Amino acid sequence: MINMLRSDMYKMFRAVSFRVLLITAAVICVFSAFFVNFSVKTTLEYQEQKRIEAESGETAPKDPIAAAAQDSFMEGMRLGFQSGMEASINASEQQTGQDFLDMEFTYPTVFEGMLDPLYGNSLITMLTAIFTSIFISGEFIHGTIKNSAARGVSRTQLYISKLLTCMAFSVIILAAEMLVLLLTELIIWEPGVFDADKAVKSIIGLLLGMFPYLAFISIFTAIAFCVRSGGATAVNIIFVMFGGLLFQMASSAASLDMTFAWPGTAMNLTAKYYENTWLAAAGVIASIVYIVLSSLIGITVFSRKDI
Amino acid sequence: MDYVLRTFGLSKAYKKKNVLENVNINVRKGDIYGFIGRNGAGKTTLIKLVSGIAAPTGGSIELFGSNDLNMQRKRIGTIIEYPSVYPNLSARQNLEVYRRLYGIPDTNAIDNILDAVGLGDVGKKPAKAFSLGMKQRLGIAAALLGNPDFLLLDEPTNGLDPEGITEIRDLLIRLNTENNITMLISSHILGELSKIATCYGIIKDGQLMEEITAEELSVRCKRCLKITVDDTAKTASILENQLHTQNYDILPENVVRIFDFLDDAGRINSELVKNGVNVKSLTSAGADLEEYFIEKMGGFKK
Ligand SMILES: Nc1ncnc2c1ncn2[C@@H]1O[C@H](COP(=O)(O)OP(=O)(O)OP(=O)(O)O)[C@@H](O)[C@H]1O
Ligand SMILES: [Mg+2]
Repeated sequence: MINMLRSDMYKMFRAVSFRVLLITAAVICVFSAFFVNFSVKTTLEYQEQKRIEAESGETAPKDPIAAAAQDSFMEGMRLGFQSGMEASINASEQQTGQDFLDMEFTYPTVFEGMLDPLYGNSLITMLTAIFTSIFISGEFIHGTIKNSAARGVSRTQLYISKLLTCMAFSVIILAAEMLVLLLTELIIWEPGVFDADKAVKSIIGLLLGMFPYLAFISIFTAIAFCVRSGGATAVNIIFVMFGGLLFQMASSAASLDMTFAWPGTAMNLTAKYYENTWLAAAGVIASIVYIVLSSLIGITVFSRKDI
Repeated sequence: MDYVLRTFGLSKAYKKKNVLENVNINVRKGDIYGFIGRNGAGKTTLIKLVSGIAAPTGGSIELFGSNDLNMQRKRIGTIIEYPSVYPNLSARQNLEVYRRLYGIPDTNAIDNILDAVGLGDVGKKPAKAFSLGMKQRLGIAAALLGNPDFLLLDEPTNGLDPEGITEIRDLLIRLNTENNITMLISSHILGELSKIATCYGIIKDGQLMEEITAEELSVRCKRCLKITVDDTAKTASILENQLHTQNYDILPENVVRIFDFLDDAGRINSELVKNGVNVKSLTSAGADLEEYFIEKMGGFKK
């Protein structure tokens, strides 16, 4: 088993997809760090603008020429973001009844700022889905899995070794992303945005968020072992993209809030465990169930089928 | 007799279609077992069952006299269907994957094997840029890693040039004689096997038609004169006393095969007739190897 794992790790580090995905992840992270920074900044500016409007009692005169001149990419994004934000603020104001002007917006602190880019969306999960699919289905496509299986490595060992390797990849890529985010944050954020208490909480959150994250990897692995062809990548990506939606529909049909049991939602819930501890705990338990269940299914299917 | 591989009533069906039926194969220690059959006869299927990548639907397998197959499979090197390589890794890296898998501490093992299969100087080129022959060599190298006691090679010379075929054949013979490695080599080309096989298994439509050693085969395929007589005992005594040969045998139905006087059939005929033996027929017989196999494998397709 250890030998099998050593062999799989060797392959992982030399896989083309390993390098490509690592670089992609780094780029995404730099971009997300900028985006978090940018969205807070825009919100603050927007709040300021509203405040001035409120004080002067009338709408600030818009200068159409100046607006047309502001056609740089960032400015375009800023305006697009503002109109989107306006809609969501209106909605939340109606809900909470709180005046937008009284709300307090702050830049996330250094570690806190990692939670959303890493666990708040499915981009990073998507990358691991791609790696897991290529890594496992490649063995079937090139027939190399026969060589290991023919030397008396049991199917269970083969499966678990692949699962652990893909998990290792996911943790490595996550660590690399954290490093990139940390550096980017330190460079672009206002100096001194660091809060020891929040940092500890966020680091615990980052670790807890790994449960659902690894649950995803287990599911990708099981799917790749069942599909065994180039189609595995497609199936896994579709799973990430639409799985959450299906889950939402199912849980609303059953009129139960089960969304914590979708790893994508659970990632966010567990990472921000300090907001709702019970939901976070439910997310962790659901993740462990996923890991065990998907592996059992994967191993059973793989052991029953001829290679 | 020590057997490396035996199967007992081994069968495999895919969706109710029998691909292997009740196969009893016996590979003795030290054999180079030529496993010959047409395309689709079931050669690869048998190798898959033995190596455990497909499950039999009936019968059983014994490796090195044991039923603990996964344990014994660690002693087997295989090429199944085609050489499987990691396309983005170099030859050396490909073997490194298996070196780790088999837990071989000696890092020189890789270089030695690469030299042995003639890939010593391919450098860092990724395997996807290899020719089929080079991939085949790499496949053989991977099969050899870890000093297996038994090699299961599915058409190992497929895609090699004549020079390469000779090289690999010499390598296999050397491994067999010097390292005492037993081999089962499948092929649908007799010419490749007949130069090295010490025994043969002929498979046709999933059934093992015959197992025969190379010696038996050469006797069977020797050219001879086949005569049908009324009295075989008398014929035998005439052959020994008058013609001074013991190079004959007697088959059922009053057939005698004589392996001498091939170009002088008339003398035998006249000698027998002179001594009162009634010769009903006299033919020159003996299929050559090729014909023998083709007949066993199912004759020429009409
Ligand atoms: N996975 C499978 N599903 C269904 N039928 C199969 C499968 N694998 C093999 N067969 C069938 O089993 C039969 C034997 O195939 P096999 O590959 O063992 O032949 P072979 O003797 O190796 O032929 P070749 O010389 O072409 O390699 C063929 O008729 C083939 O169609
Ligand atoms: Mg075949």
